[in-house]
Amino acid sequence: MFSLGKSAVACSSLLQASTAVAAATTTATRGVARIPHWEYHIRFSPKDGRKRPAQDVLDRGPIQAPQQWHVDPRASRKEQGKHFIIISKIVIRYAKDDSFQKTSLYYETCTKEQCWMLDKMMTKYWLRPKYYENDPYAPYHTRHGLKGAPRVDDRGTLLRERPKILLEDTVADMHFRDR
Amino acid sequence: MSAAQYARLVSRKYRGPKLPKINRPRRPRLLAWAGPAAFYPNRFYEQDKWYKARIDKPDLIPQLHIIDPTLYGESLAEYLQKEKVEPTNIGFAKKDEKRIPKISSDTQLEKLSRTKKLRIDMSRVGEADQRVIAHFGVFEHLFNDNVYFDRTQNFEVSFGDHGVHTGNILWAEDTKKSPQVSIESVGADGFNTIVAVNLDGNASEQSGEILHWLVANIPDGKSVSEGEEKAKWIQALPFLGTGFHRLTFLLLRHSEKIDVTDFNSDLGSRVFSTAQFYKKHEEKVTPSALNFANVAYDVSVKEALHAENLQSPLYEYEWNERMKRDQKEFPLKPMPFDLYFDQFRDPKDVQADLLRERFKKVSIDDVTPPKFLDDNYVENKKKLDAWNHAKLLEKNKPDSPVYNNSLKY
Repeated sequence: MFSLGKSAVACSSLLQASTAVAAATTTATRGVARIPHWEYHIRFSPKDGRKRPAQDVLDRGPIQAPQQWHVDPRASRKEQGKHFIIISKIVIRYAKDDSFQKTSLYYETCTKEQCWMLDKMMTKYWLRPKYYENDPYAPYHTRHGLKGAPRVDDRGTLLRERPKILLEDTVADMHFRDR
Repeated sequence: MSAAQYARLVSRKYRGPKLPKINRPRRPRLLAWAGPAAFYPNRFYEQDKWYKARIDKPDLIPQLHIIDPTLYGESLAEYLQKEKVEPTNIGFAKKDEKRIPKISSDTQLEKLSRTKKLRIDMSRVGEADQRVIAHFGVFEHLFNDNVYFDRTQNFEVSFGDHGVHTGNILWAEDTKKSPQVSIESVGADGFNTIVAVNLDGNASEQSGEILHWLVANIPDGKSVSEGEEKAKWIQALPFLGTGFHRLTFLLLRHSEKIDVTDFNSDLGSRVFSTAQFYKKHEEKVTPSALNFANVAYDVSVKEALHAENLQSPLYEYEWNERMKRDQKEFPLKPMPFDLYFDQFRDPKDVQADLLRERFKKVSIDDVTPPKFLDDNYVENKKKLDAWNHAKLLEKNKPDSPVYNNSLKY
């Protein structure tokens, strides 16, 4: 079993830290203080013993480039129409300046630790790359020009792009812009 | 050693009551795929090998425009005080100097000029043109530095309705047919020679200009058709992206006939040095008039080049690549994911996406931007992801590249 208790604090910006005020205004928002006991760990189905994905993460949209999560900073998809984000920002959102209105809507990248946690909370199915028609996320499934990180894992499978013929890096650099 | 191996080696009689803890083989980590060579002392040997340990190379910052003060010893005042070389007049002496009437400080005139309603009578401008010619560096590029001549003969060039008036702007299509020329008769026996060159049109490596027209030995007072057309007229060819080209008409005056070789009409054989031509015939020939127009690119240039089985070159400014931070696999600070990843996408991919977007809107060049940035703003605001909606709004702006196509030409 994987305990979420400690790491959820690190993940607070994702899981929408809400204070006690949240309870007063909304019931739907789930923050660090309001994680129900059945969500404090990775859950498995009692029927067949299979892993259950964390619903809180799915609510944020199963959005990811390979190995790199980026999540909707807002509480959940359903609440998009309502105008609140983090509880401290709810009341006065209309009074905020333009740059806040813009930047608060950004879907943000996660750190390595957060990505690792989110991976654990998901099942294999959700981690599999998915290809849809007219997918606005399609261009972001591959990462370009990432020189520092290894491109393949120990089995030689490509980590951050669709499978293709693998060239040696110096050869790839000669003929293609990025690898 | 695994438990199974232990069980095989140690018979039941000699086994302990509990299975001893046996080290399982270590899970292969980095070494398994990178190989031990990644950590050899010579790992710096081939840095770019993907399986070697990586070393951050220093960022090469592009050279900026630097004014090195050590190269400029003198101050501006000193520089301006330096004696300039007197330019030499290679033409005829002027007969009578027409004075330009000085414009009085008329408030009405100023107002007209400010509202762009002031019309100038070109025939009255006269000698002020000399400064314009010097400004465009026509003498400099036709002959040499520090050389000039005065216009001593009336020389009017026009393409139908479009006249050539000392640096006015023409389209390449206007110059399709050969120009009509009227040359003032001086009254004495002699000949005129017209040389029309494009000072900026030479794309080959040979030095010189592109010769567009050469009519030699036109008898004084006769029409151009009486002369020997040594090079037939080809239209002005300012290539796309090269700005205005100075199409220059030079009139040379001489008392004896001159020998000029024939020129083919293909562009390669039209590279021509006016300075050398003048040097060759210097004894006989004196420049007496000059006129030029600035010609801009037009589809006719492409058509003319294609007719000659040439390709129309496309010149583009090479911008420096945008400065950006090194990409991190997992940026520590949260970044807006779409903007962050877009920085590192291949610009060709981005362009291809834009083109696909245009093709959805039927035609290549006449796509009109929509009246509103997003017709169903309210629905889309709810339905789309915030970043995607912001992208949509950005794309529908009238100045976005979707509606301004550089491939139109």
